[in-house]
Amino acid sequence: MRRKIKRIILLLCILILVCIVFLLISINLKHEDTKDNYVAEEITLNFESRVEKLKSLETDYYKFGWIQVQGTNIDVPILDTASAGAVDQINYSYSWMSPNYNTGENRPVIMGHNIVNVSNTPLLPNAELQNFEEIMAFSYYGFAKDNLYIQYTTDNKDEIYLIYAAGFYDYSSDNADSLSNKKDVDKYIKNAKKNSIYDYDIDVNSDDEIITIKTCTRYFGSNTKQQFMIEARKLRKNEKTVKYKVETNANFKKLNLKEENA
Amino acid sequence: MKSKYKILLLLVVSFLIPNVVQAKTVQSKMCCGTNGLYSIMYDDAINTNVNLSSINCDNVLDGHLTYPDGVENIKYKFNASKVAGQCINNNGTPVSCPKDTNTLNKIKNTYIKDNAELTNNIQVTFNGSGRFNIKIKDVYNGAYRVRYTSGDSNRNVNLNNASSYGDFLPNSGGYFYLSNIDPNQSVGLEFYQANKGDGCDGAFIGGIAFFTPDLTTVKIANPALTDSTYGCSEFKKWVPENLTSKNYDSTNFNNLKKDVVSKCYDKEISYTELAGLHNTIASDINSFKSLFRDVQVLKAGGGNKCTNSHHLDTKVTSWAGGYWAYSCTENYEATGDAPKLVKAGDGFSYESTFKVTRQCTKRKINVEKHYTPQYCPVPIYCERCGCDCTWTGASGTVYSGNEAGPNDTFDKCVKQCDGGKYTQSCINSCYKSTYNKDRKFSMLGGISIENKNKKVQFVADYSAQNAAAGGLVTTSSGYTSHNLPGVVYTMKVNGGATCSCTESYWCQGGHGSCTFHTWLEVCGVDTAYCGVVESRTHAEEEFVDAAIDEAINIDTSKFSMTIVDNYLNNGTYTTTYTTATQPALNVNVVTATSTEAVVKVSLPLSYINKITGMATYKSDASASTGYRMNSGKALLEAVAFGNSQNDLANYYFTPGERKYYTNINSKNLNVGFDSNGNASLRDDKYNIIVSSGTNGNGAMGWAGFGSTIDCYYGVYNKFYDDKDAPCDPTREICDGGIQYIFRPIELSDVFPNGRDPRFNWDVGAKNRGNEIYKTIVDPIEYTKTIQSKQDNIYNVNSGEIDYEFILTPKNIAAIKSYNKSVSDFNKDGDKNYLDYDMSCYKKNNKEICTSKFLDNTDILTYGSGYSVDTRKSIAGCNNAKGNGTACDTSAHQ
Repeated sequence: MRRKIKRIILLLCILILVCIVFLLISINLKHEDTKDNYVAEEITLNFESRVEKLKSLETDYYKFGWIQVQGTNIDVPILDTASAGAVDQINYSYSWMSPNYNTGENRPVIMGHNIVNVSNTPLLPNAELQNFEEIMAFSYYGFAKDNLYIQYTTDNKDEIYLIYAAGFYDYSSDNADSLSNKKDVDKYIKNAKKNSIYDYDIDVNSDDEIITIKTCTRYFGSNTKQQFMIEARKLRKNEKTVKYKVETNANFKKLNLKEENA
Repeated sequence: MKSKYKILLLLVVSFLIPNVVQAKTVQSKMCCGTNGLYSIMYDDAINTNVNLSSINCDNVLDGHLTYPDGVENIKYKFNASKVAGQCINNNGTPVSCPKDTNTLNKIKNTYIKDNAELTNNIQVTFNGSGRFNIKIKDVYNGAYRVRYTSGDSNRNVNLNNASSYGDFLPNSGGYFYLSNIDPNQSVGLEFYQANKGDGCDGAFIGGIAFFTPDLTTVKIANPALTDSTYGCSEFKKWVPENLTSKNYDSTNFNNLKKDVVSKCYDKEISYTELAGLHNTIASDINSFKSLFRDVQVLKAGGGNKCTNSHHLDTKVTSWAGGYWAYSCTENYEATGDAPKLVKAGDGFSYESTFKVTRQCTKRKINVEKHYTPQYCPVPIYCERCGCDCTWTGASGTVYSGNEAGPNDTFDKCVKQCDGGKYTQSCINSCYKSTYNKDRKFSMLGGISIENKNKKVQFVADYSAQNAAAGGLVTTSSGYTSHNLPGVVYTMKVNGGATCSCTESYWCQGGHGSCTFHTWLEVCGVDTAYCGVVESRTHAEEEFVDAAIDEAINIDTSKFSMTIVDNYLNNGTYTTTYTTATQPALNVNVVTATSTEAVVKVSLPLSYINKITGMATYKSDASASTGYRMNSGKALLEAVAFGNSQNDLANYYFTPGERKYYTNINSKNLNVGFDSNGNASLRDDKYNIIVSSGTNGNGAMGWAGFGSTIDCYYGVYNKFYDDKDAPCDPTREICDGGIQYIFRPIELSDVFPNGRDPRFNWDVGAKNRGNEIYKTIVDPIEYTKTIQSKQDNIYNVNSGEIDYEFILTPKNIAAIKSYNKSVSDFNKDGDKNYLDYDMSCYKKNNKEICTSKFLDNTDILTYGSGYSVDTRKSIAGCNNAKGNGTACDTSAHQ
């Protein structure tokens, strides 16, 4: 009887072991299926050309270009850095070029105001938000994974840029300079990806033309005034606009960011 | 030429009998008496008491007439010549030739007009070699023969018949001819009756006389117009070096040429000018060119215009609060003075005004109260305490700042509202109060305010607000800690509990800085104090703040004025000149509903003494500062007045006005001359520069206005002689330094021949409030007075005598004795009779020196009404009146 009981127990253990193994294999296979089945589907962007609108824009300030961000209502001109600060930030939507930008260099930094969407629970894009306030929607993973493209209009051309990083930076970060050589570009890209709260499945290197979209936030309270920056690189020749994978990473978790808005 | 020629013929004499004389002094008459017909001649200048009617023709005797009774023979004298042996008295029938006594008058009228000009029947022509040919028309077709007489040498004084002569003028083609007659030569023409067989053949009828012209009246074609050796062709093309058509008036210039060198332009000249014509033209050309020797040829430029007016407007908006704001418009005006032209030694002032007018309109941009109670910005505050940890670990230090985010006011508001958590409700309310705009936010994303509030948990004693947010947060005995970079954790304590921070715990072992603080936090809303009352207070405060802000931001500014003088940059003179700055004056502010800032700038006092190029600067017009000559009397020095009379004794000048004084020796600057020699301004580069808001001077107004007024001044000096150039003996001044010109003058014409007076005898010395010239009479009026009184000034009754001495024999002896005692004062070895012994004293801040010699009444005797005291009482006057009893100021400006 005792022996019979031992056999039964042994069989049960074996059965359990088999089940566990099967379960593990099954989980692993499922995961592999997910990876293999991820399809980079081509998407159509709804950016409108801003070449003519930029030309016809009447302003006293020098016009660097125009910026549109996918998934947001951000659709504003980029004005001259030095004089843009005098523009009424309350009643007019605009952005401006970093004062550290040198013409002809890589990585122009395009800045815009965020006044009301500075909390740690940012508002999603809506009609009441203006300037770069809607940039903060990218702090939500659910928003960031679906909105990957930026249109940067300059030199009479509409150019598409692919977001490759997004992250928080403190005010002391010296991150407004344009970059004059590939070495600096490479270094910058690595740091941006390292500080990014998401891992974007997109290749970017020092041969790419990159831009930075930047605004301010009080996401972590008044004593930690932060900058929130979106990094993007220009659509390469013959490259198609596809939906590429975005994943949260350790930074995202460490900062206790939110996957979705409540 | 012929008609002119005739006009110049001078004298006509008629005669019937010999001894031709001028008609005005010699009278003649045919006198028919019982003994025959006589020609009577007498000099009426001598025979003043006798006329022909008183002569008795029967008393002719031995070539003379007897004197009428009662007349002394010394008074008159008659010469009587018998013409014929018979004369029928009182019947009018002559018994001798010529039968008709009116014949001579007819002949005379044929050739000579009543006004003593020759008629066309006598033609006198210049033969081209200094003499004249004469052609006399035979009007009477050979009825008379004509004989030429020159002077008195060969005249027919005896009334001889023509048969006595053989030198009659040839008659050819109806004319009698004379040739090669000298100028100014008396030409006599005697007429004799031709042979007609009437018993009067060859009878002498009479004569006429005239003079050939003076050669000065003879005009010939001007050879200088065609002969290049005279240099006229080259002269007509000449212009002063560097002078172009842009900087001179060609019409005036050419007219001036014609005036000065007329011999290059006249079609005719006098024959007498021909010999010296080369020299005359050469001399005139040299004179003309000398007129331009000192003219500084200036570049054409601004057309005599100064950029002396600027007008700018701009709209400035300077302040906006929660309830009030104002927008302002600023108006900037800069106005300068006109260009200045002065004679060397004269001064000028230049005034500029800079003005900013600001008009502000204040408006209410928000009503007193908008907020609903739950968003009331005047909540009930509770005092809380807590600790903030700023993590300085791996991700760097957290700093505050403001780039593309809210401003500090907004952050402060949020801090007060929710302790810095940035709840959306506080964000919204603070946005409204900070940026004065009400934005409505739909809650399409994020969490709602209500949900957020629900997540905020407060425990009775301690709470780690973000404890649940993750990270390595631990709680121990009321302490909490974290190690998340870039994140501030705040521990809050409420309910009256005490709180404290232990950094080692709170900031995870010292990887950050821990700050303990207290703050006010919203813990409720007191609706009783929300809204109107509180908001109105804010609005009122803002109204006052706005006014204060307007006032304290009105700028004062500085202005500079620079006088640039090229003269100072040349030669041996130093190049220093004055650049003075002075703060703006009279800033006037009107606050409340409008603001006006008016800045008037009176340019600083500066004195330029170009003798040395030194410039002295005077910051105000107080009487405590004066100017004196330095020891070398070469420049003016600015010196503070002392209090003692001894100090005052050293000063030669009292304070002047705000003028720039040019040097009496300055050469022509920015000036040109017209054909009459009158000076006028010519534009060169600007030498008066007044600026505001530029070149380091403070900009004006909120808009930062600034501009520069560019203008210029000119100096002209016809006495100028370049110190470094060789002395021109024809000029009156040949060396540098202060020069005086002494010359005797004619009191009726003080400045003859258009002589140009220097500034001290011209308008430049008229009193313009300048102490230096203050008591000097108006030189122009003074000159007129001198010229009107002329030598009567020296009349003892003229009232112009300042003092009078009577030289008695005793005085003369005393003066001689005094002169013997005078030593060789200047030790030059000569007895110079000068002892330079004067007494000097101060009077009305002027140093006055008078002669001690004239004070000595043992030597001098003063005339009645004059004394030493009256003489001294007018010392220091530039003129005296009332026979030296007081200063004459009547001619002052």
